Amino acid sequence: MIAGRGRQRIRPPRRGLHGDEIDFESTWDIIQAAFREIHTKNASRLSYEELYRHAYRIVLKKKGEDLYKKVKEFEKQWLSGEVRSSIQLLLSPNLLADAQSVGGTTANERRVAGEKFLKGLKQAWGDHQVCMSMLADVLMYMDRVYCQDHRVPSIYTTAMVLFRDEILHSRTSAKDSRPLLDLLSHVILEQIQMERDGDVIDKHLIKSCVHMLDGLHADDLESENQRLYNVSFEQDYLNTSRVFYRGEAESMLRESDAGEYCRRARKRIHEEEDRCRATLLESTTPKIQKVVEEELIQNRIKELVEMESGVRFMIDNDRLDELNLIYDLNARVDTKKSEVTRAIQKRIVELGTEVNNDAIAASQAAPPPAPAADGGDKPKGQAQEKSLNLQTAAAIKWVEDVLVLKDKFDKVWRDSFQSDNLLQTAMTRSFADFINSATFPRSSEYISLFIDENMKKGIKGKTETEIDIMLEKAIILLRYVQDKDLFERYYKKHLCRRLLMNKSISNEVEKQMISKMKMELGNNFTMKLEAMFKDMTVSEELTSGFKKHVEGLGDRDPHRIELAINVLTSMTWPMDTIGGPGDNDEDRRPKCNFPPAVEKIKRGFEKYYSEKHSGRQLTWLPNMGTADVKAVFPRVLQKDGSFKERRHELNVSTYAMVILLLFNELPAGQHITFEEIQAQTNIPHSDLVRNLQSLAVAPKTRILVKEPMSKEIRPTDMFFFNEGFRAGFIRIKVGVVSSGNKVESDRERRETEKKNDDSRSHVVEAAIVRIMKQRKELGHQHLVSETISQLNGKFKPEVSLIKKRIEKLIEREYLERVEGGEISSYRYLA
Amino acid sequence: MTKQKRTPEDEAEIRRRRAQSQKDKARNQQQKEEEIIHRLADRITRVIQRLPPSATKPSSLIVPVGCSSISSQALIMEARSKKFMHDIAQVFDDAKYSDAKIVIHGVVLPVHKSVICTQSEYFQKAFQSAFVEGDLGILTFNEGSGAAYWRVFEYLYTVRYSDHLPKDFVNDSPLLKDPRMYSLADMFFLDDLKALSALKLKEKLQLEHLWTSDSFPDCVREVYSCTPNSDRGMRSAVVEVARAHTYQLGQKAMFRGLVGEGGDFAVDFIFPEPLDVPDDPPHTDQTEW
Repeated sequence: MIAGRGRQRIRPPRRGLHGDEIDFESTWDIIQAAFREIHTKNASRLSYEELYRHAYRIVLKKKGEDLYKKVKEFEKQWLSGEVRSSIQLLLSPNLLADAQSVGGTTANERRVAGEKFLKGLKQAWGDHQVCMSMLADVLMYMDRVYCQDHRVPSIYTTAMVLFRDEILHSRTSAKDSRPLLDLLSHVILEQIQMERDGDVIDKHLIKSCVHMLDGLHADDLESENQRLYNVSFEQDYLNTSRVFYRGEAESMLRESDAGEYCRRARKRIHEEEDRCRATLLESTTPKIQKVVEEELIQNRIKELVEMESGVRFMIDNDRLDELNLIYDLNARVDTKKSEVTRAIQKRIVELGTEVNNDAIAASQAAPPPAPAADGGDKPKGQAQEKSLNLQTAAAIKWVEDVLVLKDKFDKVWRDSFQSDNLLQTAMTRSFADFINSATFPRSSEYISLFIDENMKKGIKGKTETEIDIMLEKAIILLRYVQDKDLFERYYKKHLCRRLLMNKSISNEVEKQMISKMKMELGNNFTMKLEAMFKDMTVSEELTSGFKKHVEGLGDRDPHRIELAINVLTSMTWPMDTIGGPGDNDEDRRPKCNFPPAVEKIKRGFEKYYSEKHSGRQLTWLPNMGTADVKAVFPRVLQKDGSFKERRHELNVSTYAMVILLLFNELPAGQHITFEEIQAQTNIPHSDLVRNLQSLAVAPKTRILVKEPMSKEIRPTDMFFFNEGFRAGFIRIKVGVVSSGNKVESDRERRETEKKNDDSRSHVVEAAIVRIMKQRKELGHQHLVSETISQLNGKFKPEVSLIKKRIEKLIEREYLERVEGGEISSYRYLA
Repeated sequence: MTKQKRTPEDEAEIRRRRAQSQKDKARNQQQKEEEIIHRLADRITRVIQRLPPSATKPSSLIVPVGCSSISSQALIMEARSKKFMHDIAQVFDDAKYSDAKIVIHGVVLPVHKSVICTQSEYFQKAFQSAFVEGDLGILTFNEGSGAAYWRVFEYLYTVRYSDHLPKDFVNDSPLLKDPRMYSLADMFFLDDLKALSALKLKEKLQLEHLWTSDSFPDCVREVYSCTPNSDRGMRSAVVEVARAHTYQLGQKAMFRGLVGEGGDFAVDFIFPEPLDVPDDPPHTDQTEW
């Protein structure tokens, strides 16, 4: 005790050190009275200093424990008496009845009753907190000295626990033994359910009660996972929510379409998020989110995606926002988005297969060559011709359809799938799947044809950007193509024709395309294509060089023939396409007998060439060439009545030129038979037939007259020079049937594929040898997979092909089997 | 500092100079005091950190060469904190900016909540709670030594408490002054004041040999009645001195009477605790003799 004023008040001995017992009771009475005032909200006249001093003294007198117990007892009395009864007054009979069996009362009545109860509880809790913090302030010295020294919880904490025990754990009523806490959970759950059903509830009120539950612990250790909120409410909430959403998912699937389902599911998810924020605790957000996602998405996503109005419907009807919704939902439960991905992939392959089938159908829809029906007035060749044109159109349509499809899905990907990388990969795979589908082997050819068509016609009059877009499109498709080697083969073939026949509109664009492919597929891929361009340039130089050379020879021959020549490297150019001696059909094509004048200049060039490049052999390909021939037709009666000699410049194929020159030596009115022509020129039968068709059958270029007059060329036919030939123009181009780039016929394709497979064998062998040379020894599986990965950029080799090539290499003693190993493996033989 | 102007010297100037010289004197006095305070502060920190005196060389104050900006920053900060302390001390017992009142045995002391509530949770609660103090902004102390209460507030503003008697309170005797400061510091949760007052008492007893005073037994009684059992700061100070001079004290009837009273002091006197026990030892059974 602090002594009073000055030294006068020195206490007598034998007092003071022990503190006086009598003081405690009276002091406690003062304190207790004050606490009562505080609890009845009447504290403003109380002196803090005085109360604090009383409590301080008690503690100083070592009566801290007694004080603590007294306060605790006091609070217990207060709670179990005043507070508990006031709360029990709030429990209206129907609230209690509802707690056991729902029914009887309306939702609104229940809501009001529930709110009344919650309000009362909130009020009691709030009061208790306020009062206890005031008490704790007054008892601060006790908390600091007694509670800390004796390791007992602060009075405030103890009082909060008392609230739990005396109020929340108390029986609901004399008849109802369930604790108030259960009723509280039930009421809150009911209120939340009302809100889910569209009612407006007092969120703030519930939040207050939730805070109370969060502030109290189920045990006395105050461990984090033992909060009343988590122990007695949260799990209930999650369970009832699960039941609710399971039911809702079912009814929504029944009643609404997929888009509507997504919208409502998303709304529910957001609602729950908001509910945790506004009504419950944010710590519940991930848990309830999981429940909702499991019930509304995870367990239903498959059904949802496959609904009639599901992903397929959304794609077909461009429901981009709904696709975005379903993507978003899927992404919530599955980082891989596998259901949506699967549906998208399926749809791509379906639509792609449709495009494939359309292309096949279109190419087959061409009138089948039916000689019986129209053989009489249409040559069979033309029917075929028409069918080929249709096929080309189908090819171009196919490319464009695929591009449209690609655009469509790109848009979906961008707008609905948030440019998701995983989905992009999946979609790319699906495009590759149908483009490389085993049932549709034409994609390489079609893409090449598409480029061919554009190079010849499509880009006419287009701006640079438009052309660039077109080229880019082709590249996009090319990316999907697995068998790049096959594409290369077709591209080479088509490019070759474009170059040799001057069909390309712009050399510049051709080169642009090559450089794009170079960027996309690498140097190796374009090397040979570039070599073709180089050959063309070299040939131009050769032509002009030869011209100069001839001029330098001296006397100028007025009948000298001008020669324009293309010298093609046989390894670079597709010889089979241009009719040169291929590997297999060497010398199949007989040499054509040129007229002497032509023969002379041919020899002249050969000499010139061999002087420049010794050791090279030139093979002439007359079937690819053209010739400009000046023809003089005798005077015949013109329309205006005059007789006039007519001069025409005929642009004909080399073969046609050779044929026509035969008639120079023929007296007027004489004829030559087909067999004679063949014997003299040595032109291959089919070529001869086609050339004669254009010269003697095609009405506009009928320079020869055939006897008998028919569309078919027969070996016995006789040919005359048509002296009465008329034409509107000076320059006449005599076309030869079948010279453009067309879709291959099935037979041609089989050939192409066979050739491709042959060259693949070499490539595979080369790869195997490369790998083995480096590794020396390697297991079978490893070798196969490494070979596949090496060739990935070119094509996907069949495993059987690799096996076969390994066998061959063993036969040829490049490799040997390693004996006695557990797994079969090979060794490289140097 | 007042500026000296080169104006004709008139009486006002003279007055000013006189005032100045007085101020200077006061400042010298203050500087002396400050030196003492600094020494004290050093010891206080030592007590608080419970370090042996030899280990308190401020090794952490060594500033690396070439970091002059850091050291000058430190200087500025130091000057600033001195200035700040000075400024706060200026408003002690000053109604300016005051937002509450303390009444000690009828003497009104204007205070600043921002100064006292930040230092002690007691004042914080007293003025915050819904009690009459919070309502009126007046905190009244009518019990105990008024001088001690006054000195607590002096300490809160000036970091020291003086020996001279403030206002017209009855002064505490030298040996009761510090125990009462200690007791109030304990009640108001001012740990540094506790350390300071305990140190002061120790110095008085040991250096000034006040243990020989007749009021020493009363001092012991005061110490034991106004601190809780677990609080050893003051108790060990008196026990230490008493044990160091057992023989001389034993000659004194007053002291024998004190021991004869029994109680906690007698126990501590006979069974002293080891010197380096922590301030708050783990709970031991309260011995009621």
